Amino acid sequence: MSGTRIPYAGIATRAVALGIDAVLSQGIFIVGAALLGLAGSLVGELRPAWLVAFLAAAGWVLTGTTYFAGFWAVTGQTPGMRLMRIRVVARDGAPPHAARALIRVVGLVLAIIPVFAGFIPVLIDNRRRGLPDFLAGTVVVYAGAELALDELAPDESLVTRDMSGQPS
Amino acid sequence: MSGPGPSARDAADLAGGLALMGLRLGGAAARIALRPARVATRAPVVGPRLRRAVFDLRADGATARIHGRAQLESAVAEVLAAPEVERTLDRMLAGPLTEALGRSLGEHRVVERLAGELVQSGAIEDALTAALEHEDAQRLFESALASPGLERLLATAFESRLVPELTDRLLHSPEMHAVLEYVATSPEVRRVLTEQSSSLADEMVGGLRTRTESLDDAAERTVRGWLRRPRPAAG
Repeated sequence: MSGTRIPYAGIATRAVALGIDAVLSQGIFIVGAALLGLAGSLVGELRPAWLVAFLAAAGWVLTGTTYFAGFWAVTGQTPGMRLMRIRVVARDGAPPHAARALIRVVGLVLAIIPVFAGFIPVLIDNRRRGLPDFLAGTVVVYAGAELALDELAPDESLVTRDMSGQPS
Repeated sequence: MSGPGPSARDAADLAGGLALMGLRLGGAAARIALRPARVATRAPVVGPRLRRAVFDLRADGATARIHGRAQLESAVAEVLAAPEVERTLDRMLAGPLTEALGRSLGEHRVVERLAGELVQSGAIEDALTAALEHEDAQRLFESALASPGLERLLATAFESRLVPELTDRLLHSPEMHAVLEYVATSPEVRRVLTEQSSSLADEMVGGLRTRTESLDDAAERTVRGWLRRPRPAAG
């Protein structure tokens, strides 16, 4: 381990934070679904079954999206990330806006679908970014790390340039 | 142990009575004999000489008394140190006297009275304080704690059937309920418990963070090593 601490959060810390958040968001969904199911059973059984499955899936997506995008947009930290003392920041050093947070949620899903392969770039990228970060233009840093704004500027290697040499 | 017979006792009593009567008669005769001497001490010429002679006699008597006491003391010490006294005492203690003495001590509550008197006077408290403050007592206590004998004794005591019974009685006692209620409702105890719990949780999470950060670096180093892509200098 080098003497200087890298400000960007690595794959293990992010994995632990994601695991904690997954448990919490699933817990919230299960409790909410149970309460709704209890309330529904008082007024009558919901039919047909596909509608129940659709509503459950929609509720699951909504819960997850609200949980992750909400926490990222408001504080830059989900509870799991807070516990692991890491945070998401946009290029201006502030928590990402709602739109950027939503894009990051989409990126998170896309990164998880191929057996978490979307997180492999974290191991080789100089800013330890994964697919969600590339899509949303964010980085994940340790909460106590000091970051200069120029460090958060777009990566030169990823910026396409026109014939005049200006970034496009 | 059989004592002397009735006839021997009667003879001894008679001898004692005769001796006492002799002493009384002697004393009365001496008083009668000294009466003229007392009158003579008040006479003008003979009186002072007689008083001086009486003074000298008193001084001689006092010296003889002191000397006699010293001799008596040494004689008593000699008697007490004699093997006969030791044997006599041994026989007395081996006999029924010990039991009789114990019964008498119990009947008259001698031990309780003595203990009460000692407690009231504060002598026991002073003695206990002095004993506890003495460094020898501390050393003795430490060596007792370290001894295997005490360990065995405690193990036996804990295995005793009295322990569950005592524990049960203790747990159901009102005093224990009061103590538990105090502990459960005490703000100080709650504060300490909260502090300890939060510091334990902080320690656990801190340890987890340190480990995952080490793992971050190790994983990245390994993959970059495979790809022969060194990490640029940080900071």
